[in-house]
Amino acid sequence: MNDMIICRCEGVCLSEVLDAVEDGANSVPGIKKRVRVGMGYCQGRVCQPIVRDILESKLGNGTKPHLQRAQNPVRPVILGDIVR
Amino acid sequence: MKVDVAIIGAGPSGLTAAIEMIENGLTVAVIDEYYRPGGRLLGQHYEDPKAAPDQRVWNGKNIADQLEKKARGLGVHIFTNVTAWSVSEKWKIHLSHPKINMIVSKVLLLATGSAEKALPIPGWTLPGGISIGAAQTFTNLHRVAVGEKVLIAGIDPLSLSVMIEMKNAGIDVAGMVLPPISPASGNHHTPVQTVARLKDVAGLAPNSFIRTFGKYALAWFPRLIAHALRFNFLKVNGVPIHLRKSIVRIEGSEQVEAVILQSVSADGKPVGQAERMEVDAVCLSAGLYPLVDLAETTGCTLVDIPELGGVIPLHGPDMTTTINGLFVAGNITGIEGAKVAIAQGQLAAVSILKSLGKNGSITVQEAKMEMEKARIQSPLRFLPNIDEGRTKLNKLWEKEGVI
Ligand SMILES: Cc1cc2nc3c(=O)[nH]c(=O)nc-3n(C[C@H](O)[C@H](O)[C@H](O)COP(=O)(O)OP(=O)(O)OC[C@H]3O[C@@H](n4cnc5c(N)ncnc54)[C@H](O)[C@@H]3O)c2cc1C
Ligand code: FES
Repeated sequence: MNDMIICRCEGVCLSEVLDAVEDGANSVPGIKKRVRVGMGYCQGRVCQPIVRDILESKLGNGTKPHLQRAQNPVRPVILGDIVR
Repeated sequence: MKVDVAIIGAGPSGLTAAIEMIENGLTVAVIDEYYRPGGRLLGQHYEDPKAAPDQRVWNGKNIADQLEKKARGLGVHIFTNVTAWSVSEKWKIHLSHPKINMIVSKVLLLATGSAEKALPIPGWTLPGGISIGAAQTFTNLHRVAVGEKVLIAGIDPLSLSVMIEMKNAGIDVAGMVLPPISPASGNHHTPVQTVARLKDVAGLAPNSFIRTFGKYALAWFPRLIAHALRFNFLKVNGVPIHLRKSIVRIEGSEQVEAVILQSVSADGKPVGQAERMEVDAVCLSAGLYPLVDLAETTGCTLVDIPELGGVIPLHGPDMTTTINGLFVAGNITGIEGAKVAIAQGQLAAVSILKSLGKNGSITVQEAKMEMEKARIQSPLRFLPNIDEGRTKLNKLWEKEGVI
């Protein structure tokens, strides 16, 4: 069960996310910085809501943890589109 | 390219807004990253028992085609297959387009819709594991069967509706089961919680899926919790709805071959032996959330309102946000059906027209009433406490939003 994939883009498993929480991560960005969830092609569209649920249940204080901030560009773009 | 209003998202809300604005003298561009306009309308195809007898079939694809034709005919610039990857203030919209890399506009309307929540269970990334929304699009838009024998994990209004759509298309749906009780799937999928949510949604709007419960009439719903939990399943359209079984994992070496199911008690504890069922596709349904990524980069205030589906841009009853010249419409403001999205598009459009000193085909006040009407007439209701959510939002807006 712990080896279930949570972040498809970066291939991060549940056990790694739980280890990050164990290690003291108490926010979505905190987990992201430790194990790269949300840093892949979809920029967390798939994994972030799951990570948020996991954190909520692990921290257990009833508040929903904040999402990571969306960054520009919000989708993958080719360099040519940016430098034009 | 320069226009009065740029709209991101060519779903029902974006297209409706575009038509209203161009008809009243504004120039409009609509950008969508999908290959054709229509947004989530494209996958929708079901009976709407609340509509007039000659409009009972809700065919989203036809409605999308009509909206597109009308908008193009009036001169709306519609860009498809083009992503808006960044917006900067007042307003520069950056595009992934071979020739036009930027649109400059006076007003920006964000109509980016919603996204599906993933439902992680062991094996969910195997080929054959797909989201319920993808199953809907394959079935109704592309006319492709997602499998020979399909299991649906997640019992909610959307998955019930897609199940009926798949059955109508002749696909063998082997059953519907609950997601696992686990922190990764949100810990809220016990039989009691699931039936309570269904009851709330169903009780508020007697909609298509109530009818499909057939002999279980509306009056029966208050007692449904007790009953459904005593029986092991209900049958809807010949498909067993297992309210007391959850999926444990998906098995297969190269692709989905089987699922392991576990009977659970009313509060979600495993009882008895697990069982194996051979299927070649599993549809996963965990709910929808508003897509706010672009909104977030504009710096507008966001608020978390679970009753509306999660984090949304703080906005007023006329669809204005905390940033001058930035408006929102559709599912980005909360998860509701397509009829509400259309009415919200109309409302945002007349608000924008007003802000630019022009008159719309109806007043802002009338458009608000149209939206309330659409909410009541919606055949599909996703969240039980939308009205509560809207009240919360309005309070927040009065406190913090007004600029
Ligand atoms: C999987 C799923 C199934 C649904 N099924 C139903 C149903 O059966 N019945 C029902 O009434 N409602 C359904 N809904 C709700 C649905 O969201 C509304 O019916 C309605 O389509 C919302 O309209 P909208 O205009 O807000 O957004 P949408 O119809 O979602 O359209 C938004 C559009 O914005 C585009 N977009 C987003 N970001 C960008 C960007 N950065 N650049 C370019 N384009 C972008 C997307 O490609 C999309 O086409 C479903 C929603 C989902 C997600
Ligand atoms: S699934 Fe994690 S970044 Fe895409």
